[in-house]
Amino acid sequence: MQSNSTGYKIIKIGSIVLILYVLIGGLFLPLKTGITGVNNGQLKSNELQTFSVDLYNPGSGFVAEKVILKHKNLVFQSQENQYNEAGYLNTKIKVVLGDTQHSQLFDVFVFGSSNVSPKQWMYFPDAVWIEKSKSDTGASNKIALSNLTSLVKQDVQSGFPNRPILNESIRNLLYHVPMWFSMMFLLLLSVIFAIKYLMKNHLRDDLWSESFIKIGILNGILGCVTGSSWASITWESWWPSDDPKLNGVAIGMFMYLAYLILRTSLKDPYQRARISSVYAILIYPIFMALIAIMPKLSADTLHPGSGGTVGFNKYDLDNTLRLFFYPAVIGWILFFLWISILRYRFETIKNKQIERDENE
Amino acid sequence: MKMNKLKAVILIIDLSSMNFVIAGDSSVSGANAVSDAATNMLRGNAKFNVVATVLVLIFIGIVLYLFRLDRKMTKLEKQINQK
Repeated sequence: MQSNSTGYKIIKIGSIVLILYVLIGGLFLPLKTGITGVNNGQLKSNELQTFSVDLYNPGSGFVAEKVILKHKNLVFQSQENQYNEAGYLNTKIKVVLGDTQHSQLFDVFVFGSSNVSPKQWMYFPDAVWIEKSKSDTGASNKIALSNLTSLVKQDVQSGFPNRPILNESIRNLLYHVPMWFSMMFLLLLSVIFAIKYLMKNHLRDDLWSESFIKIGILNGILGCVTGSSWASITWESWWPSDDPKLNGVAIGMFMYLAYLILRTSLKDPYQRARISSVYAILIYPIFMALIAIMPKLSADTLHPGSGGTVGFNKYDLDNTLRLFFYPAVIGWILFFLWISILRYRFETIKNKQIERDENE
Repeated sequence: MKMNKLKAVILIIDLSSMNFVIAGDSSVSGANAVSDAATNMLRGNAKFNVVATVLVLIFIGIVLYLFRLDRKMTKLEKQINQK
């Protein structure tokens, strides 16, 4: 790679421009209206009870038309909703579970609009616990679902989607996920150059392969630590051990660390290049199977796009996110490609210097 | 609950003082109150703090790699200058 070639310039400038776009847009674009939590969410049945819903970015003059508690086909509607400009929606509701139902966890649905947001449904899962009172007998005061407008959220407001549990952390999609895309891309390049080395026996191809693997490992470590801090608040664990993708990545990272150990243990450059090229080609498909195929085969996993689903579906990405997600992936890939190239150029100069020293 | 993103970034930097204002939803349904201080900090500002943390971690990772490269370059420069 010539340092003044057009391709190199595109990688450099392109990565900087795209990452700047993703950083500025991804951090400053507001989140849509949504629910971030529920206060006093433990209610007794058969009594008029009050709880409050935390609304996020509702805009001024928010009016809640309906507040619904829902568990499967059990639906209850509130009697009175009072919005406080501090961001709380105080709700009074009387739930009569009746003879046939037990104490339950209910999802909260809020239907409302403000000066900035159109009429829409907002949702927060498992937010309210209704404890059945002893006096709660007879018929339930539940309402039929057909009395409500469809419980589908209409995404008409501009900004990033405000998903329950994720909230603002949905922006991590632009920073955590591209680390893995970049890692997979660089490791794929390392396989291509390893094959090229085995065909032509040029040591520079082996150096390319090694550079890509080293930066790929850096990507993997960054993906692990960023994912771990994200998981700590959304999945309630720093390392949810029942997720097959996490365990696959852990095993895969050790396989690539073994690649580095293998290289340092061999002294003859041609022997080292040949053995490590073969090893790099062998572990890539195993690694891909561990992080891409095994999670799809397993019954339950936390990551989206796993466990039977195909890639990103409409629930993961909307048009606003897409506008930033694809540039983010390309930008971060180009950025780490640039770092790998820098590393390759440095090692080339170092090798030339060593050769010169030996000739003197 | 409007939040100030600059404030969120300052909160991250000011880890040593441990005087966070948690504006997020640390009391979801009152059932699973997370006691861990770090997790509570990440939850702040409607979970924006975790995004800031992720960006800081990526920056630290890149800087650590640059330091390694810098050290190797200094070594090479010394070798060349000895000739």
